[in-house]
Amino acid sequence: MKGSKLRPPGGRFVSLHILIVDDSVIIRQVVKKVIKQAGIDAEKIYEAADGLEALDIIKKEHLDLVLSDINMPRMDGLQMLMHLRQIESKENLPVIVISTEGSEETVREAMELGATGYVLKPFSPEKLVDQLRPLGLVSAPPPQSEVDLSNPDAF
Amino acid sequence: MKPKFYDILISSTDEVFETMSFIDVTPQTLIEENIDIENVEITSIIALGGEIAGMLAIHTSRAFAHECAQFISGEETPNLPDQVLIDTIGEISNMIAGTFKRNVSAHVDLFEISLPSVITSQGHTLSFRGAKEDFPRLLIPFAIEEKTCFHLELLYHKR
Repeated sequence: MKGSKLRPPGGRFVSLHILIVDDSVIIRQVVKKVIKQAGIDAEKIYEAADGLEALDIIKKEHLDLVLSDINMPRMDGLQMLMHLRQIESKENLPVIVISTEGSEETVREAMELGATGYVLKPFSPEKLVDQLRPLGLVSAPPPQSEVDLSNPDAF
Repeated sequence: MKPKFYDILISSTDEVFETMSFIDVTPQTLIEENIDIENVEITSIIALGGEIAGMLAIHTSRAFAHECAQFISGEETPNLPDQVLIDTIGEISNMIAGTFKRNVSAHVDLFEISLPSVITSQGHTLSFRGAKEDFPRLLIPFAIEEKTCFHLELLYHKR
């Protein structure tokens, strides 16, 4: 993940900068809530209501993750993704698409344009967390003792 | 016998409310008469194109929009600006139309949906002059604990 912060061994990412792109205020709120619930340590969360606003932020700010809708006014999420991937330093920036568009064609197009994951609306928090987990962004469960003291076979 | 697309429309609506808001809405009896729907405060319309051309709409009140916004965001807020209520009902209609589109794909090849357009007022009335055979209308009230909270309307022409 070029340009992203390193995760300390066994720990969580720190100080993540995340961009949420959706023309719906309520969906942006839901995504923020899921980020918090997933234990993702977001130092800064940026919001954009369409692809153009998103590109402005992407060009100016250091980001670790983008979560974007597709159907938006002015510039949709797929166009935004295409422009984003043309920016040299943003080639590997993880982008998860969150959309009502579920046709094979649209999902394929998004993945070909460089989406990292795809979540269909309506979505449960778990569905979104499942997409974030492989990126290593979800905080690990509380550390367990390496030796189970209740298990006599462990000695 | 239920009209075509009725079951798909109901299951798509259930899916959206169950997943996003955990609000338990129940479909009531399909309205077949050409009745007026009165005291509607928010109407969100999605245009449908392709093999099924027409519209999908939600007609509801600010009170229900407020309830949905609170459940979806998980935040109790006594007063929400109109823009948030409009956005909430627009997004719910968008998700119902998107889910309906996915679920109906087994029956139709080409089907596109628009972004939602939302109309608000202090209380508008929806009148309907009558469905035609090739332009059917499904009008379904949904309720929470038997109290109607919104009407879902599908009006289409199958090419």
